[in-house]
Amino acid sequence: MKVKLNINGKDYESEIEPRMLLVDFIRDVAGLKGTHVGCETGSCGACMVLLDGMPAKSCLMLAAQAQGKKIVTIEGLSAGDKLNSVQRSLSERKALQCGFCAAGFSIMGTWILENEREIDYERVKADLAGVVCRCSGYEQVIDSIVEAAKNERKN
Amino acid sequence: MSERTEKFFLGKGRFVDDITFPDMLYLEIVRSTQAHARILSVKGGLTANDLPLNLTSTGESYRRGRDYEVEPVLAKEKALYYGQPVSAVYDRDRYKAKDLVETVEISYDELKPVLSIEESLNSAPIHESRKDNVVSKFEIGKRFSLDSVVKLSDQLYIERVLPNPLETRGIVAYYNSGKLNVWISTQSVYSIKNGLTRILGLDPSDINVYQADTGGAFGSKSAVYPEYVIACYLSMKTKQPVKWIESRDEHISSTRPGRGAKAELQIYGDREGRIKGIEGKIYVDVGAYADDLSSTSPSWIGYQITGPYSIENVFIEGYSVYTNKAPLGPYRGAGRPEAAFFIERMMDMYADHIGIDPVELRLKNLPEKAFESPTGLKLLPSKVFFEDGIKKIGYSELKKKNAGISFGILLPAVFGGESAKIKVENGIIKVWLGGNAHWQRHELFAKRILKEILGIPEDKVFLMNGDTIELQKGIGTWGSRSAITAGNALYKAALLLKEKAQKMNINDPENLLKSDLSSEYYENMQLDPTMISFLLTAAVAEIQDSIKPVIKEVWAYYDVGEPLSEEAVYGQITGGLLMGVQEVLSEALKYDSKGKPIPETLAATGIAYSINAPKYHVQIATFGRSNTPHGAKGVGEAGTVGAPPAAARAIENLLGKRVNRLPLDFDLLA
Amino acid sequence: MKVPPVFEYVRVDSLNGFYKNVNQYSFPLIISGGTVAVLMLKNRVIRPDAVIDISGIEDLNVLNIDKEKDEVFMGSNIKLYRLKSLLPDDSASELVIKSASTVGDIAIRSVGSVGGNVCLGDPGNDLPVALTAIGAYAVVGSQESIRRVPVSDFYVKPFKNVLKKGEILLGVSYKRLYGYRTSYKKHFLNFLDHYVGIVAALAKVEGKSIKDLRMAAAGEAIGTPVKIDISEFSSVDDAVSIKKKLIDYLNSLPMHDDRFGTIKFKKKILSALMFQAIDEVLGS
Repeated sequence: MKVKLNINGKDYESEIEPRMLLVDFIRDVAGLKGTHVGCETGSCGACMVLLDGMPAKSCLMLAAQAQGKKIVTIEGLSAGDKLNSVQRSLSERKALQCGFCAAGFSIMGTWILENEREIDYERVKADLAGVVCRCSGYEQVIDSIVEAAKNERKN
Repeated sequence: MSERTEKFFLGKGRFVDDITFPDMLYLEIVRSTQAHARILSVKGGLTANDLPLNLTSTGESYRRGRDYEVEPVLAKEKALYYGQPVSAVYDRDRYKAKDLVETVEISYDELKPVLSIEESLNSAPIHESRKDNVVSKFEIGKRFSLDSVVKLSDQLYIERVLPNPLETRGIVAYYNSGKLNVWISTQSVYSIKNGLTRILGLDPSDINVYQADTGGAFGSKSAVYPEYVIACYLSMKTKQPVKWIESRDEHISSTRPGRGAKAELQIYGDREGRIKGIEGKIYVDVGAYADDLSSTSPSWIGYQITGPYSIENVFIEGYSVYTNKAPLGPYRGAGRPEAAFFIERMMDMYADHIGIDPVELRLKNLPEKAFESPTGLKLLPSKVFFEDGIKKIGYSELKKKNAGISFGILLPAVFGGESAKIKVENGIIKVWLGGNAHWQRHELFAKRILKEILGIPEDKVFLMNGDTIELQKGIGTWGSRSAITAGNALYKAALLLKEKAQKMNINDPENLLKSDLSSEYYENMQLDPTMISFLLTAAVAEIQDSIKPVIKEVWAYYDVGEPLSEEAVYGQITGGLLMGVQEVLSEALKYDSKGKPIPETLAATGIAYSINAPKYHVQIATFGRSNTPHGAKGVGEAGTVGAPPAAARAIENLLGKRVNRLPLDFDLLA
Repeated sequence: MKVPPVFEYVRVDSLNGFYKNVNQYSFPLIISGGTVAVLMLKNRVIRPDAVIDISGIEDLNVLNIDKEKDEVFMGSNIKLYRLKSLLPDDSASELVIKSASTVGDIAIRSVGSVGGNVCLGDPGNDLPVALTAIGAYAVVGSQESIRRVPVSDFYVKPFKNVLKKGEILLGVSYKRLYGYRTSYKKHFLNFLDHYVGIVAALAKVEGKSIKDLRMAAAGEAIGTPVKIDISEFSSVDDAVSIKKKLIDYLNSLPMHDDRFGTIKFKKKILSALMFQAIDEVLGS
């Protein structure tokens, strides 16, 4: 079937099997490799994207289901080579170790900054519940997002 | 881009599944659905008849000549664990390759699976050529006979735990023009190259291995696995690039888990708290096939059974045994956490029995001067470190919160040493380390060393992924070894480069960057007592939602020698602490009565999510320098060594029930 | 990597479109959010000949309040995360919101739907427990008619509901309740994994007098939601007796040791959840 998906503001059209997963469309048809497959069961958030502004696990969706929606991947968060505020904070604090979770925390962190009113350590910790990091113990990731929020609020 | 992880934020990482070639074949493995069975027939795919090779190599160990059964690449007459590769299929279309898996018909004659250490010792051998299921037996220390006033025993058990890095295993193999090029998610391109060379009978000059960006490993990505051999074989046969990416359920059934150890221990001493001896048996469940590392695991655990203490009498009988489970491999800590859990649980039992404070008992048994244990382990005195640490973590306050405390040691696996290469090119400096970083942020210490020795600004230094062409010899990243071994090699490579530069009258960083100099250095190293880190960990538990025991806070006062990068060290400590805590509460690989792994998802393996993280209080300490030019000690596995006994004790204090099995049994979970 | 088996994909934008298409296939799978459906496809535990995507049916993406009957109707396509801003202010709605806001994590709630959470029949699904406690109805549509089935009767067994081929869950309706305290408690061994026990309760208390007390429970230890009859108690001071009856009830349930716990553990968890719920709704 023919499918047209809007990813990071660009339309990608392709003839695909109905069973193709959204994460595979993003990676193999659109060629955007920043979204990862970590667990295939929605347990880890490595495949996280924004779907009409809300976080969604792209490994648990068919590409066909995402037609007519605005998809934003990790690549869509930065402007050219400029990281967004959450990513800058994560980068400066050296919160990421192996880097495989970058999409999960970037997407969720960005969503948190844009949607949550009160952003403190406990709020961020709870909101990040669906994104796995096996390397770091989470503290530096949470601190980075809290700090990004503080900086953004100041400006 | 000076910050290595920036590229990940831009989606510009190059993990193995990001690598594609035209006409690439996708490999899928058909796996045994039986834990123990005779394979009557296999219809479809490549089988052992096409590929009759065995895994005659291992990742992290060098001893040869042991009498054990190695895993065949594809199962031959018997399937000995659920998930064992039996057949291989492939297609140009990734989805169709998966469909092909279902077309392969395997018929089995089911046999009774052996699924525990007890069963293993009391069952017929699963390898019919053997007389029993004992892989190897060791005696560590020396038999003794003591007439002690206090004699306590216990049985301790740690269930298997999966490494579960966020990125599963994967490989791309491309054989063309007579060369096999391999891209792989790995801890060591050298381990992979050596293994593939040996198994496939290649000439080392005909195979190149490149490390893709690697999304964590925790021990799972050093050894050569059947799938890697099959991918290479298939590429050599078809001359097409072949990709194999592990799915999470394959990781759960078929990647080497760690731990899986049991101890029956007796501890002897006097009423004042002087421990005189420790003896007993240590068993390790190595699964269906063994290798050097798993078969010697009981002796490695026994070697460090005295922890930091000066215990004069030690006698351990170690046994590694076969079961119908996936072969055992190293998982962050690899024997060290087992030893620490075993001795620390006995120390707490002893303290309770004679009625003294557990910290006081521990301090009493620390050596006043350099000590050599009957196992051969040489330790420096650490009393000052722990006394200092106890104050620094505020033990008197923690005591009121019923904290659990552990005293530990971290023995880095320095054997083999390490290599490093530095190349100045186009105004920047590229560094290759034999130890391939896969979450440890080695670039941070690489930048620091080059800044210190050569004055090069940090944003001009780039740590490259492992590459057997650029750096031909190396060892790998595991066993908390990199700061010491790779750090040492890089330090000396930098000094060599400086020397070369000076000979050409280049005496400042700017001019050095304009040059095209390079240097390479390799050095083997032996473990010496100055390289051993001391670890003080504390944990406090609480009941959550009036039902569930959890760990609320952890304190770590860890000796890392001279830290090469505080940020990197901090992150490794908290990461290790969380893994150690979770291993006590829930993280384990359990099997059902048919030998099938129980967890069907990553979540079901019990790993820690953000909401499981305790509050961390980490203090990085320097208790002496290691015998290396930079003075750093290892740290990667520290948290997994120190946290489990401290957390177990905290839970014990909270519930008033002995914790001698990990993870907590159901009767302790509510 | 897990991939679904081959199937046809059909997107329908209206109920008529659904009824027309559903009968053209032998064993269609209906998806709205698909967070669990797609997983089941990947695991190949279901092999439909077609996946019918109903998420575009706007008629099912509505929340209606029938002012006469004072009933709320939640359409099947409403995303779980939207419930807290859509539902009105009353005790029954409060309990529904409490349960919906604990489903999975934010990313699951942003895609998962009311219909999916009600139709799946997983003992760990959240909405059905709250809906059973408040006496909600599943509103089932077919080409011919609309019928209402109490949510407590909606499941034949785990993962099997009463819908016949050609039928669709239009949504869920419930009568609004006022002046109740609500409680929603659950326990898991591992996050994003199965729930051992789930308890939903609500009570209307005036002084020390209990006007109404309801409880439902589910989870791996129990199965699909069951209504627990504790209606005979009339006073807050009966809390001890209520708890005793709950213990007797738990002891009457068939349970066995399995990966979710020993019988002792399951009973301990369920009783703890039930007692906490009772204390919360009775204000004790």
